Amino acid sequence: MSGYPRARYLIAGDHGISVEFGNSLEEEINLKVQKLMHALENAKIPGVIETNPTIRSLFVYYDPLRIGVKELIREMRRIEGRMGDMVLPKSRLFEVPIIYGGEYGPDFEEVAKLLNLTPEEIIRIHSGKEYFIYDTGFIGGSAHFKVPPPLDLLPRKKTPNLGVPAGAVLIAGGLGSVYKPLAGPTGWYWIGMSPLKQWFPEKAPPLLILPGDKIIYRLVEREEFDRVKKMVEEGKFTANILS
Amino acid sequence: MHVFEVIQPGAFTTIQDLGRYGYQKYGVSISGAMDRFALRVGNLLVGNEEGEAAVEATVIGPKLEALEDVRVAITGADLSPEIDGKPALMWRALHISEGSILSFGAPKTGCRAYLAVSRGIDFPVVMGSRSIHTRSNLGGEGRALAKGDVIKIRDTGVGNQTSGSCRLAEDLVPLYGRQWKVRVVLGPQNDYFTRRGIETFLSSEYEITPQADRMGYRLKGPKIAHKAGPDILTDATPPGSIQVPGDGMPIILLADGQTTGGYSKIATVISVDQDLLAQARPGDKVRFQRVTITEAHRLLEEMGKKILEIRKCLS
Repeated sequence: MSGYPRARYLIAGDHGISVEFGNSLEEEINLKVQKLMHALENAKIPGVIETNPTIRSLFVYYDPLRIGVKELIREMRRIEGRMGDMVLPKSRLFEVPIIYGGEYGPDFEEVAKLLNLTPEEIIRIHSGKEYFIYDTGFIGGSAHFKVPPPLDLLPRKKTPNLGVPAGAVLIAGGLGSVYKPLAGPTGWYWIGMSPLKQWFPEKAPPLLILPGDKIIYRLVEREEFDRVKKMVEEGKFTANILS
Repeated sequence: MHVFEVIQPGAFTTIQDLGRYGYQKYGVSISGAMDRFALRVGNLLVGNEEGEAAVEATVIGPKLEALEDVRVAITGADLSPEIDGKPALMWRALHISEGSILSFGAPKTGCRAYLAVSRGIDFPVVMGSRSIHTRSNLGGEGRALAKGDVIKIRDTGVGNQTSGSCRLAEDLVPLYGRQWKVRVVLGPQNDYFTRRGIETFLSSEYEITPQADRMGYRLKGPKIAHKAGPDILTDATPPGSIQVPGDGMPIILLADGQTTGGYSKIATVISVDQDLLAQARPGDKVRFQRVTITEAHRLLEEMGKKILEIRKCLS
């Protein structure tokens, strides 16, 4: 059994409770987070405004003028106790085209050097494997997965990169960001680019890849990258869903 | 209906309401007015529902030309508002005539002023809110107001068109200094800090650095000690979260803060004091004071009652 024997309910300000199921990057812990999220949404407790599932905890945002914190924790413990056999929505497997290195991933060479691997080895380790998505967070819903060793040895960068484009594929601190939803700063290593989009503010939900889904990187040539990018930009294509 | 044209945009002027709820799980910040109290009161003064969208100005306010006769209220920071060059009163409903110029001058006290307009500002609703969030390009074109933009008001809405002089009672008008007492509830990761680290945090004075915007404020002062490392497995960072990275200097996340983060959070600023922090500027001094969650909820309830009373007085 992974995670804590009993979930921790942490006070996160006067509108928030963080229900923490463990302190490690494990699917089993993350699935509990997602189960509690769905169970709580189904329960429609008056005063619960929204939830935010993260790697190992569920953040619950509530209106303290509508529900007391003690009552809310009691109610959540009850729901948590019954969520064991809950069936989560079917996860999807997304194929993510990628080009590594060069202008597509300016930190790629440095990463290879830091890990004492050849570029080919990094591509072999990083692509072609199914990754489970733990959370979608930060700004614009970056989807995160656990990177396989030895890529997990890579720390965050000492000096953040102040501007990477949307589509940048990143790794740091044991995690991978499938590709960045919006341009912006990052303290992670930028190793490649994907032509896909994650952020669709006009759609419900506004994200393509959600927690619980899986992704697999597929190395593509420049020609295919450009073709897919154009179709994505024109709204004619979002992604290949393999299952 | 077009009510204002932007002649000069000011330093950072946006449209804000009470924020965007239900989308934190998709990486969407709540955003909304940094000082909710000022926004709510401004709206009530002009007969709106308290959550209507208003203009939020930052330190250097905009210059606007009225395209119609319009009823407004200016609340929050005193950024020396003027109508046709004459000082305009704050925290009360005002009439501005077509062709008049509303401008702002030297920032006197506070940081963010609100311009509420009778019937509320018309602006595209995205994910349930009219708030502009520049970092995710949400709200209109997702950018601050620029020269030549036109501000519209809603065609339908409750707005009060009478010309009575609605004003907020003197004793309810907040006073903004340059030293702030900010109340916090400890956690969710106070167990990542040494006892001395928590003592340092609660007993020292911190200064707001120039890196302070709607996303959050970076502070500097005595270093807060972690037990081991500063990093956690990324989790939610609601508004008010106080992160402490490896350098030991606190970062307070505010309305436009990101939805998740990987630094340990020593405490969370209580909601009513987030409104006050919205009025703090770089260079201001901050001291943190610990309160219980029960106390934080009592203070929030008091704020609710205060707004209710203001509403009664004005209706």
